[in-house]
Amino acid sequence: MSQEFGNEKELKTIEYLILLILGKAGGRVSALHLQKIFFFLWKFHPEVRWLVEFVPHLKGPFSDDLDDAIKNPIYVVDCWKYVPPKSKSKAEKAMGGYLVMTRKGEETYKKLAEGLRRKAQEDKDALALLSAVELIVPLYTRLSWDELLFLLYTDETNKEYSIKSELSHDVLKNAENIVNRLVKKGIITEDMKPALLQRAKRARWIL
Amino acid sequence: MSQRESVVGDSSFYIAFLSENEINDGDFLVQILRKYHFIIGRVVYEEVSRKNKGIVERIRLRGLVEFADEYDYAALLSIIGDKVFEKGEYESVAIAYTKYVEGTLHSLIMDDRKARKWVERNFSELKRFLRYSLRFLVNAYKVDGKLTKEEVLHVLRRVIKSIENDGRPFNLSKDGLNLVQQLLEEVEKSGEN
Repeated sequence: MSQEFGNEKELKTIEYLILLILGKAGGRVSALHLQKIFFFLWKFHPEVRWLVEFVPHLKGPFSDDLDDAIKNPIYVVDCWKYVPPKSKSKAEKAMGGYLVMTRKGEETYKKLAEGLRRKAQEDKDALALLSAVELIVPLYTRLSWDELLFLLYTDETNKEYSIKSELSHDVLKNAENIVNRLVKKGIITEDMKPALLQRAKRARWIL
Repeated sequence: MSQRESVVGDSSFYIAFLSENEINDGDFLVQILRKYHFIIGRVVYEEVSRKNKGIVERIRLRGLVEFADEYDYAALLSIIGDKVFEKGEYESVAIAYTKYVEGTLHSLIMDDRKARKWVERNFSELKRFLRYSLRFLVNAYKVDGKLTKEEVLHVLRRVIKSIENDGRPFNLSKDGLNLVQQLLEEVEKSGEN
């Protein structure tokens, strides 16, 4: 396989994976959520690990290749529209704009999901990827930007990717408020609250 | 695999059978593991091994289960877990979800109340597969016919004895003693298999 052909295949896979996440998210997802969900899939699945590189960045784990694919897809074209941040508010800036699915994207997503589901009956890599997307996308897209970053930054297993964050002070400062919101949304249960607050106090690596 | 026979358990299930001050019957665990298709993740395996290395090696635990280390299941939900050492439960949820999508999930065994509540709230599709360890064992006799009445009674009696001696099999304390007694009566009153 030539290098060029290999890169083309990888890039297509990245773009289809973006579409899969976007479709499962209901057709609209922020660039921040997409980066982080992709990061969890990257940690989880060896095949995804080959596709991109994640580095510690200003908002935690970040992939340049993924950012390019989000904003300028080459193979999966006209399936989503990237909408840059509308205002300079902290939340808008943190979320880094949105991906909004187009009509063509909806049709392509349906075919993609059906195809992956069929493949998953015989292929364990496809099954693992499909299950992981179905497990985490609905859960993590319910989180606001600061709830997502709070959980990510204070998780010790991701600390090497959170050390350069410029948003950690804002997030940690509001720890109690964020944890209360997580309880209210049902993302965590009331009895998990003290442990989450403790986690915020222990997360020295992001300061 | 076409049948619903995949079982995913958190570490408390395995540890209870292996710990000297709990059920302390590794051979019984071997017997159960041979009757279902158990899947164990890396984090849970490490948790079980850390506390019971000798017996884990003696019974060759890895050979009795599907060792799910091709994918890092713990990474998917790690941000929800309270602490690093409690991430086994979240790893188990992720593995169970894969088996659910595959259509082969039989049971997700979890004894931790917090983790169970969290699963029920966020993944209602898994709720009907959630089992406490003891309910799983009782059902293995009453529903699945994989264990005999005497075998289950043997385990329940050992659990009671352990709790009375300040053990905490399956995370049960003395407050849970009544519950185990009730299960014992339920099994005693049931018909022979």
